[in-house]
Amino acid sequence: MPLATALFPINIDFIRGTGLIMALLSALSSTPQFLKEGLANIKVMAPIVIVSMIASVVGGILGLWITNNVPSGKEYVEIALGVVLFMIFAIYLFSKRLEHPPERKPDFISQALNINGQFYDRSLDETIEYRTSRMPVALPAFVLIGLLAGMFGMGAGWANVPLLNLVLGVPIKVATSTSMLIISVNDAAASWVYLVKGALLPLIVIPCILGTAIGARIGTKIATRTKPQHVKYLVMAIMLVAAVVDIQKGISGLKIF
Amino acid sequence: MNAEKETKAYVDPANLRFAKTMEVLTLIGLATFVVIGILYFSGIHDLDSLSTVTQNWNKPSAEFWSATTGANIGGVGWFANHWSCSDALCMLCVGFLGLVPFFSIALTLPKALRRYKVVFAILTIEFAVIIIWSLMFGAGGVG
Repeated sequence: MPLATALFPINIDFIRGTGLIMALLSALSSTPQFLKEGLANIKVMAPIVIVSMIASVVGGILGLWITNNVPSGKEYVEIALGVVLFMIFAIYLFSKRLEHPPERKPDFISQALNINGQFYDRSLDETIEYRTSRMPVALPAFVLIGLLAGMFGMGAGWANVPLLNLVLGVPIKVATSTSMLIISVNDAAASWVYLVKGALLPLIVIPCILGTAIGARIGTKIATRTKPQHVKYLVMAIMLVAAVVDIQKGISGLKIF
Repeated sequence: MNAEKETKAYVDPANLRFAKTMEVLTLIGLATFVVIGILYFSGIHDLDSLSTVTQNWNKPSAEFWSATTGANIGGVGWFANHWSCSDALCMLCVGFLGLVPFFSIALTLPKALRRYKVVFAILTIEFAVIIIWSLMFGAGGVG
């Protein structure tokens, strides 16, 4: 999606709509297996998507409203997307990951809903148990992430995973998998906005959906043979290039220089 | 062998119900999508020709549909008026994929623990309101 915005002449409305559907399909394809293994947890997902689902719908409406109603709205959205991509690049660069965060005192929401879980960690041959904490701190951040995801047609795993891992205190494997679960709900809700506003073109969506379905299978096989660090660097490089090109396109479209 | 035995960890039955629903509905959605996709690229009853689409795809969505079909897109009326076109059918398939998490949540409700039944009921209602509101009022905002 970032590269398509930067390189192709297609309007950003259609690219965002397609990006959202690709993120949705990717999440729908991978989440069931994670759920069966106990890696994705619906107990963790439920309180989060109550607030983030509405935020992603509002984000979708706001993004389409800006490009369709605000003069030079497309350029402003391109610049904003470039800034967000820079933020994602920085998050990838500086964020830490905790395999198994230390257990903290649960907050009142986690306690009331008894948000806990367990999964079998093959690498350790051990069943890992965990419970969440600091949910009231994380929820406003999930609202903001939902808004950005809906507005720019993104998956938002880049922000969900650090929040789930470092703030809520769930193990990294659970954070990655539960993030996909959250994305599936948020993006499904926001997809309705893009759908009824005609921001989806079959000519773009059909090949992208088929490509995502095939790519997810090839990617799973390649991932077992590729070092995660190399994939991370490749994604970071794409983010950086797309951020620069998006901002440059937006600024040149505004004709302020 | 079920997933619980394979993973050597207890997996909530609600998790498993959610997974099964999502898995089956996604497969149905994807299979339908492939069929409709073939229809679309075969050019059988398309709303827009491929060349018209590529000539106008640099325009914002509202302007694009106005230029290519003369229609103001928004809400359920657009689908109802063009239900037999492969473009609209394709979008309906996307809509179906957008319903998968809704059905997964709604069908998991009976399996959920008591305190989660309330949370899942709220989520189901919230999701339903978003879909109905989008279809009835065209999601507002753009115009």
